[in-house]
Amino acid sequence: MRERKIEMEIDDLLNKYFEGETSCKEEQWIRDYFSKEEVPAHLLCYKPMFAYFKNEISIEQNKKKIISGRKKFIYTLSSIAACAVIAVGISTFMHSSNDSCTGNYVMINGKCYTDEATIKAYAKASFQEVATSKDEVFAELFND
Amino acid sequence: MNKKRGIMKKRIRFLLLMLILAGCFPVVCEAQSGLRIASIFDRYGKQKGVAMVELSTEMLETYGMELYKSITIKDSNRALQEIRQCLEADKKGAKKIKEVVEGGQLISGYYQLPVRKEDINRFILFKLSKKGSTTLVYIEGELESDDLITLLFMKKDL
Repeated sequence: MRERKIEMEIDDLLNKYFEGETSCKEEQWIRDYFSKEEVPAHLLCYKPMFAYFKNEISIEQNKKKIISGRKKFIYTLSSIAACAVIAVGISTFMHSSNDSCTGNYVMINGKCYTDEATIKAYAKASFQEVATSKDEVFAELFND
Repeated sequence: MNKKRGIMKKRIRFLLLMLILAGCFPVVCEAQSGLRIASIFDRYGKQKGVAMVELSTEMLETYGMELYKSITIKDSNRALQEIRQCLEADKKGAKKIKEVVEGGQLISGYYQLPVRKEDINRFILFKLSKKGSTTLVYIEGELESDDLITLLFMKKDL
């Protein structure tokens, strides 16, 4: 009795299907119905067609999954690349704005001087400062 | 619709995280110089009461040096502890270490670091003066340990 009812339902749905009036849900139901092993004899002719549709749909869905996975990967990669560019940009900007002092220089109280005489004077002073430890360090050095 | 919003939120969160990381990037780059004392130059070099020198050209050629970097901190109480910690870390693996310690505290130090590039020696010199100022010198070049000692002994001008 129940099977008979289902058969009638599927007949109605098939009619609707061929009229192009079925919803996605109904089409899914039809495909599921024809994917079953047992189908009434008068509907057997539709079985290969819906089996083909079902197969094609699953292939398409797999493709979409792969594409969305690829998209995600490309998105992540491009985000990383964009951030790297931003980081280099920030770094370059910070260096160019803060470290205008490059090459040979002496920075005194945060102020940069690039004239040779001043640099030499301060370099000499700092070198002599560490050299004055003669009595301490060098006595040790020559104990080798 | 909600699902799309969720994805967008996730993407925004991811981008924010990446931007935060990007912000940290310059700091990470600074720390890549390989020596802890680099942070002393970076942190104190532009402060008041500090003189920082960097020489890297023909001015040094005569002495077999390629890079001369020094920092003198007048009132070094605050920096001293940090400098000593940095030296403690940097001297690990040093080829030659000569230190003068008074009352358990490092007063002066001479360190020849392991060679990083072929024929390029690296030295760190440290001295705490009686007046309380600290001088830290980093030298890089072909000069040998003996050459540097001679230079220091002679108190030769750079």
